[in-house]
Amino acid sequence: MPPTKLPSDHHIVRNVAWGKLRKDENDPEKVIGVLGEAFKLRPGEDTLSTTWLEYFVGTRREQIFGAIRAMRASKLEIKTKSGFAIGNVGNVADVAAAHNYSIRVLHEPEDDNKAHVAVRRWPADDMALFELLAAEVWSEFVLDSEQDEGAQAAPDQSAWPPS
Amino acid sequence: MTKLSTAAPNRGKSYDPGPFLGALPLPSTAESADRWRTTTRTLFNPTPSSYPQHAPRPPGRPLNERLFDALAAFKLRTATLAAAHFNPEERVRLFKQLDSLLDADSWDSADVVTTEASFTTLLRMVLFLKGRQPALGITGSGNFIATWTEGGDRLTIECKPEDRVRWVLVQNLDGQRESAAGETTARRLPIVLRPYDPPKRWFPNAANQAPV
Amino acid sequence: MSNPVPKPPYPKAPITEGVIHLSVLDTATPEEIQKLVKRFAKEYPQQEMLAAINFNINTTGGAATVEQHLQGYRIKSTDQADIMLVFHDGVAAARLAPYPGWEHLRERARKAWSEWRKNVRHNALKRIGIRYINRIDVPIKDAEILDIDAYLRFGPHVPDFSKQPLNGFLVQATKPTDLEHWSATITSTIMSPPPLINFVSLVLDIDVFRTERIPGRDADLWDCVETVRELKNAIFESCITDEARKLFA
Repeated sequence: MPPTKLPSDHHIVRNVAWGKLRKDENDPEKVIGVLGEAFKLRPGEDTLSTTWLEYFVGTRREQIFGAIRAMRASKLEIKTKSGFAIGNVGNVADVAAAHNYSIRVLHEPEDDNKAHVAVRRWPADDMALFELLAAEVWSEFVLDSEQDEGAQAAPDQSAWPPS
Repeated sequence: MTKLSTAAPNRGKSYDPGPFLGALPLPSTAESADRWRTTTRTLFNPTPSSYPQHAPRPPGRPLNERLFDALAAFKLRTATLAAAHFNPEERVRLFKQLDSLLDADSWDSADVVTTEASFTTLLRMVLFLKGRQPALGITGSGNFIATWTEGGDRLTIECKPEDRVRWVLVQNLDGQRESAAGETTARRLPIVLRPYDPPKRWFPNAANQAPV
Repeated sequence: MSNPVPKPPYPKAPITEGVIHLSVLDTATPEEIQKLVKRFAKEYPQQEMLAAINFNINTTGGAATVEQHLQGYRIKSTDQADIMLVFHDGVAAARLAPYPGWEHLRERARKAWSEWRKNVRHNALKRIGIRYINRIDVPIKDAEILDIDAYLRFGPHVPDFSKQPLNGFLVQATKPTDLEHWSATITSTIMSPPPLINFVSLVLDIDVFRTERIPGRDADLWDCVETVRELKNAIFESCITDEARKLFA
């Protein structure tokens, strides 16, 4: 079955390590945003790895918990003080298109993360694009420390396509 | 009057502080200049900060050790390079930033440990710009990132070795979003950013220093 | 109206490194050295071994070879600004920028020497030295000619065989001082390339030392060191101009 293209009004969540979060100049522990560096591909990668927010049912908060829990359960190394950047698929695609990148945002479940989304045709290193995304359409973030202990995540079941 | 040319001979090498007693810059080849430098070092007693270690650190050390060593190197470089140019508050703030960034508990192990070469560029740039001290981040490839943020306006500068910097500016101007990016040297940053008014509020003094 | 000339203590003293070094006649054993290094573990948690470098120059071929061997330990505070060297024949306390003042360095040196005396059998002194390395950062805009004499009174005197400016220099002199038994080695040079953008950095290294009739009693020794403080300050002041002083404001 070919990968599902995500609807443009859905969202993708990207794990952002502590060093790639934007900080307050006067307080190195205060996070004020995300750095474009968070969206750069590592050597050897050809797709940007994210997690599908709307894969999880429930309130938005529950969906966010679900996505974070899925990432934590995967092979991905999630260190303390990391964050999670949430971006709207359509907006991300529009900004990328304005920079001449025709990206594809595809649901490609993996054994360790059923909500995994691969963003294909993603540029390896376009700092201008990445900073613009971090400033605008991929600027919403949640910190790992903000997750409540024992908070209930949404059930791990696909919310899409709706029945 | 004893006249000294302030343009250092071009030997195509990046800044390398080494022991504080620098080279005898000679107008000959880089190779012979290196030989002279090595030879004449016998004239001087090394200072405590410049004694070389017994053996280089072995590769493949645990991440926390590599981060610890990097942090120590950055603090030593701050002392030797910045000298009296940071006031105590600025130094404390910088060290807090470094301690926070290079904490092993929050470091992504897939990231290359930030390099001294990048830190040197960062220090030289910050001292040259003489404005607000930036916040710091890191790249996955071992470089520091300096950031300034005011509302929705953001200046982000990746500090590469040898004074190379890659910059991105995103700002609102008269209600319109404007963005620009480029790569240059730290020395040319004020000139390159001159067309964009907001940087003045981050490093207003730099405009007076930039070569015309 | 020109800027006023500041007086010492300067708000931005150009000191990059201050060192008090005490050398003894005989050598300590490796066990004594290691015991001494352990005593300082709390204050100087970062410890590394030091190499000595021997340069051998083949005067026929001009080739230089380098040999390294273990010489001692360098131990550092967490912020890397306080350093102690522990050698087989002595101990040195050093302070990097920012320089907090003479008392800080003197007390570190005093503690170092006190521990040496407790832990090492041989402690008859053969040399004491107080060395300050100063880096005078002169701001420049574009590439231009800098008049060294405008900042330093200890610099090169070059015959006027060419109208071209210098590309670099290094001057060193050793001379007895008017304080009995004390001599000074003064070195001035330029750091190349300069550590800061749009600056030329002039180095002034002043080492005041004594190798004879060094007091044996601690109280006398440290009184002696205290006396030299004024001497090294006076030497420094005699080597710089008011234009240099304005840079320390």
